[in-house]
Amino acid sequence: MRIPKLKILFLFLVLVATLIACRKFDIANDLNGQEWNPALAVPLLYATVDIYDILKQADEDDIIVINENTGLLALNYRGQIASLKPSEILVLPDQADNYDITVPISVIPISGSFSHNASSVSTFNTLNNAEIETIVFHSGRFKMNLNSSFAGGIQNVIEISSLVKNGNSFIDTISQTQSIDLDLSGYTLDLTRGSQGFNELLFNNQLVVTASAGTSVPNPAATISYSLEGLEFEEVTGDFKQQVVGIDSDSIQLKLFGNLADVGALTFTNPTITLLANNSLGFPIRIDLSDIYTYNIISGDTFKLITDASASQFDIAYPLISAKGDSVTSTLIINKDNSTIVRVVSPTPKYLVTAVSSSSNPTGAPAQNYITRDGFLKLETELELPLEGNIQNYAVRDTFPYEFTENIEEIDSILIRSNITNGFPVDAWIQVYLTDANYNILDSLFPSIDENIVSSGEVNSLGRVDKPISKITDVTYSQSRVANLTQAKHTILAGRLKSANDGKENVKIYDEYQISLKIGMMAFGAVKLGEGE
Amino acid sequence: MKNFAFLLSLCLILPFSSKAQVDHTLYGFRTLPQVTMTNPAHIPLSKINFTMIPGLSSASVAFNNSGFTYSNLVDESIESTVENLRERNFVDFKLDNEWLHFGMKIAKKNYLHLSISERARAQIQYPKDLITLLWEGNGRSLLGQTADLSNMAVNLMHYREYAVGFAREVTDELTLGARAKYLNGFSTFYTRRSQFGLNTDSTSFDLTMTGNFEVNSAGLPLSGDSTFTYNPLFTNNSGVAFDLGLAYRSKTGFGFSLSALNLGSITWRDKTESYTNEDISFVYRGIPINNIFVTDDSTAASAVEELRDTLLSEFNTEVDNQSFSTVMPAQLFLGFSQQLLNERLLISLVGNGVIQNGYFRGGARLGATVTVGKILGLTANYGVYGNSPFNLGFGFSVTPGPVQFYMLTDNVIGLPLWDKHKNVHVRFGFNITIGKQYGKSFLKVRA
Repeated sequence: MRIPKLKILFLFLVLVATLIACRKFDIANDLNGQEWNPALAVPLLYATVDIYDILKQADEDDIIVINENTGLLALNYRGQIASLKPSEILVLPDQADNYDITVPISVIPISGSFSHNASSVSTFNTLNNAEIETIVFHSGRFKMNLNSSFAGGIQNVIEISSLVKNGNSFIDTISQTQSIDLDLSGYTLDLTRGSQGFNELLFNNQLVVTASAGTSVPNPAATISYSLEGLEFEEVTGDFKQQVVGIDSDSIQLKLFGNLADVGALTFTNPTITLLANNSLGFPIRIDLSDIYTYNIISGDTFKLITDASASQFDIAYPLISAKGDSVTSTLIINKDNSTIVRVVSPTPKYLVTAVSSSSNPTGAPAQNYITRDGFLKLETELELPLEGNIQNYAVRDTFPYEFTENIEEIDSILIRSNITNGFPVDAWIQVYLTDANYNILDSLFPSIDENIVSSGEVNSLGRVDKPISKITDVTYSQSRVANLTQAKHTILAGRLKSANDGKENVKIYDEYQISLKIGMMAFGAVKLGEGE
Repeated sequence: MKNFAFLLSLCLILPFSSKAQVDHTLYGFRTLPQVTMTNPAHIPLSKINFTMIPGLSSASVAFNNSGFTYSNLVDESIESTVENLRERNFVDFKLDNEWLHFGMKIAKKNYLHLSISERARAQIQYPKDLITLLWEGNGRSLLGQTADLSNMAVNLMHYREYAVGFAREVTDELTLGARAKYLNGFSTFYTRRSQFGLNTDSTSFDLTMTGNFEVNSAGLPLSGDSTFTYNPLFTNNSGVAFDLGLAYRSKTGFGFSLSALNLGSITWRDKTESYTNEDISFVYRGIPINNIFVTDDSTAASAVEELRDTLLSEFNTEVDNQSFSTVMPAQLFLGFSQQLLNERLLISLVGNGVIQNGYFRGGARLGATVTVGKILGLTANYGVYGNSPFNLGFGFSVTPGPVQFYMLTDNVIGLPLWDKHKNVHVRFGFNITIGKQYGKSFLKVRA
């Protein structure tokens, strides 16, 4: 009995083993025909951008100012038109002159020595009829020599009582063999000793002739030649008259508009230009502002800021001589009430150009002026653009390099979602173009340029945003278009902007405004499972 | 009355029996000395039992994937398979091998047995949302939801069990049994805690990951220690576990039995590593481009670098080498039986369950056991377990003399039709059995 039972058991085991082999594990073949369609949702980019971030793209050096009372923002552009040095305003020319000292023949003894005293006045030459009274020299040379037709030896003791240093008048002796070469540093020259009270240089001479034996020539004379060279002043007083100084032009780049692609209508309703003059020169100066203009590099247009000649003069105050060393600030504000400045930034300017000239003592009346070596005149421009106004179809355009090399064969479609919560009073219509290396457009992200991607926040009657508005925009890229993503080499961002309510109302930009941007992507896969994989 | 009690117990157990662990075909199959493994109060039908060939006393392999079958994937569809997953799913793989076994009856009412066994366990827990995430991505049903990825776990354990057991017929109706086991662990990887959630915002697609985890390992070269050596004989990882059981049978033939197995733990001391992160909280919003107008390659690169640093920071784990304990997965059996056909046929209903990491998985089977002469023992059952509603258990023992060969499985059709079943299991071995008490004694079998 045992053997048949064991046989049965053996057969059973064989049967089990056979059944086990019924199906082979071949998942690649068994799965053939099924498709894997995952949908992967990922956030790509996000940003919360405030006005500072936006304006930072223009220039980090630009100053954004906030009105402490209202919170209204303004852009502040500064430029320095001029910084005048005293030496550019008043120049002391070199002086060169001579005079003769003659002695009446009756005075000349037959033999022995004699002396003769004589005074001489020379003119100190100036430019533009400046009437100089005193000069304190920083540097310069005074040179003098003597030629004589007297027989015998001769020397001249010369004293310039108007040339003083440390309380001592200048006095020296010259002869035919001994000249004078004086360093003028620290000397004060008084040019008022003459009869007209300015521009006159007085010399006192004591001529000594020795071993005279009559004269070999009739009317002998001693000729004194002198020069003042390389004159630099520490301080000058007098009436400088009208000195006209041209100032190099300066331009302020309004980088806010750097990426603007085309003309549009951008109106700032309350811009101002403030001219600030800081003057420590001791005379009045008038600035001519008739040549301040904006320059649009797109259209090439220029536009003068001030067209009324009478309004184009800026008189700069000065410190009186009693306040010598101080400086005085003068301010001129150019606004919509006294100029056409509202048009300064419309349309799309890029530069504010200032080319001005100045003149001293503009009235021409007699004046008591002074100038010191460390005196200065600084002239600055400050353009302030309160962010208040409206935008009409302003176009923006920029190009970015782009590369996407991932394998996307198994992607069926891609959904790009922009989710923008806008706290600014601006609508934006945006398009993103994909181009090849030669900037030929391959595709565009949105169906048309008229896609309103960013909706303006709700604006109240005061032009202020009360409530941010969110907008979600989905764009689906089908598989046939997905290939364009890998072929593109550049993206061009193009768009146009309008302020709220179709750009018809003036809106204001406050510092609390923000725009939140979120870009997400959902990729839909289509992967054939099975042997082909 | 006896049939009513049996049917009542059937009604009580089956509704709760959807998941269970394997080896319920062995339960109550008393022609085998290994019957003590499932209930120490079950006394084998032979007086003396011992290993015939060391290492081939009792070898068992079991596999269960509670989530799906191979056929679900390829013959139906992956999509429907994913849809039909439970919230928490398991893949279990067990290997058991009894190196040595010895047991003998003492003074008719007592049974003493000793054994040395090698046991290996591997388990992967996967939540439905994890598979949904892999199959659908996060852009379909999980969009706007938090994918619950908690209880993702990998648990591995290899240990050796030295057991001594004793059973005594306290009365004619009641038998009590117990077994003490010394456990010597070789290696483990234990997911003590894992709580994860991944939320995808339906509008912005922002991804939010939250969670915490703790994993322990011992005896594994996780940190790449080149000096690591594996000791196959004995380690310092020690533990103790107990099996307790009782079996009752009335004079009417109705019986019930109860056992609780593996009540204990192992403390791991050799080459331990624990990795912990108490608080993962990370939101990915994409690449920040606040300075949007000057974004260039370097900006993007720094953004990616910043993201990497953030991730490393968030997922940074604390590592220590402290000893740790793992609680053994406790197993429970509850059996009801009724002798029929003039006490030649034993019908039994057995429910069992496993408690692991605070999670209970149960199962049940309805079976019948007979012996033929003093040679053949047969058992068959229908079982519901492992998230599988249809399992046919079958087993036999052939004992022509003192040599006994046996083979049993909790799902006989899972062997040939492995692709259509979630459970595959087989146990076999050779014993020497002396003093068989089949036949008349069979009629006294306690289920």
